[in-house]
Amino acid sequence: MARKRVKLQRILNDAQRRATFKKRLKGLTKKATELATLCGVDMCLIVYAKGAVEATEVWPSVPEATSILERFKAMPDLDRYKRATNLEGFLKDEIDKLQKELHKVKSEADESETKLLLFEALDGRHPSFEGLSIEQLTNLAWMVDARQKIVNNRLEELRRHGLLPAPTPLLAMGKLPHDIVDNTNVEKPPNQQEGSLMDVGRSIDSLGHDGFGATSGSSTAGPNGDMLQVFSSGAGSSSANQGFLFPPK
Amino acid sequence: MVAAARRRPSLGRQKIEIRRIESEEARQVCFSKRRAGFFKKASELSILCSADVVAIVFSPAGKAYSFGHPSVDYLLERFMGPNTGNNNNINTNTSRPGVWVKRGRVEGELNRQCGELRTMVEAQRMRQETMEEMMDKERAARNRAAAWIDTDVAHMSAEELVGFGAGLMAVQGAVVARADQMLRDALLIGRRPTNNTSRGKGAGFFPVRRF
Repeated sequence: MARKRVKLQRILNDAQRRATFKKRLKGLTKKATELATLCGVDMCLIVYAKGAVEATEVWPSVPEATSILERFKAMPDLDRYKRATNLEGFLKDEIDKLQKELHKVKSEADESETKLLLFEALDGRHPSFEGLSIEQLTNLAWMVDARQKIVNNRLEELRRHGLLPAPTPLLAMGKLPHDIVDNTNVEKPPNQQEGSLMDVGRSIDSLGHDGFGATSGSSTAGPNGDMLQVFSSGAGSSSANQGFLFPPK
Repeated sequence: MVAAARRRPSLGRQKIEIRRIESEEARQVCFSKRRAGFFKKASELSILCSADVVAIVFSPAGKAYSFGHPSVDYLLERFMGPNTGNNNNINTNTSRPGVWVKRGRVEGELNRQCGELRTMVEAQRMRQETMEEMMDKERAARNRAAAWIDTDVAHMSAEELVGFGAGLMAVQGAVVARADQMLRDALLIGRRPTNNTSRGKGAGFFPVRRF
């Protein structure tokens, strides 16, 4: 029964609303019949359509419904209200579902945005990467890292099969500037201070994004020059075409 | 002749006869589930179609379950007329418009949240669409980047792979350099003026490209 979920909000289109009302009312009375019969219970249902003066639907019948209501009225307050339901619960469920959906759609959009940035960056249009947030930079770094792994794996495969024109050394991957607990085999960065970038990144970014993961311990800022050095030795930055370095063991 | 046993967790949806359930236990379970489902459908009817709905269900044990929108008591009074009989146990607190208006405010607030969330979901969908469009433009331009990103590495030649790898390395280097610079700038906030394009102190002063 894979039908599209209907948004739980007023139907604005009059014709559509009336049609839905008719259909759903019919279904609701059917459900009422089933519930009453299967479980042998007394119950009633009264519906006023929008703008109706008289009850649009009284189920099972006016006399029976009235007697049920009288019986209900005769109950002490506590018994009556103990098992009462209203819209609040249902609306909260709807909110939960929407929040999940929002999270999903946002992640997809973020992923697409990062990919677009990669397109542009590879095309040389982001020489300095100014104007991006730490979050965007981080996501991009991750995406590049993932791709580098794939490329290196493939190169290694080719090498093993002797298909590489010699000599083609493996590319050294730039170390990621953080020590995020990851599920892939990223080599641990030699310099623990790199973890601090993400700590600062979190405080820089006042929006408090949650995609950063935990960093290990070190909260020292550390001499910033180090970081660049470590990376430039691995990444080769602007001299990418000059020579590659093997990944340090 | 032995028939193979059906290995399924449950029998799935099956058409059942609408007749009173014999087993008391099964009847109770059925009551619990169907009552909940019934109230859910009733609530959907009231929200989707702006209808006033009230449903009273007595359990097999005689307990009263009720659902009402805007409120049970308001609907009781509306249907049965204003208090005429002697034993009118309608709670005059909840049948007066005032109180259910208050509950209506809670529901109104929840409704507002729903609306907000829906708008945000839509905004992200639009953003996704924009990203896709821009990426398609990149692909149409048929530059190297597009070939690199879209092609499966298994189909790339060694030269292409090396080129791609070099490109990736260059990007990573620049990304890290920029992040490093942002770190340094952040540490210098309030200590001395920075000489980049920032305009003043405080988090969030980096001009950020937002899609």
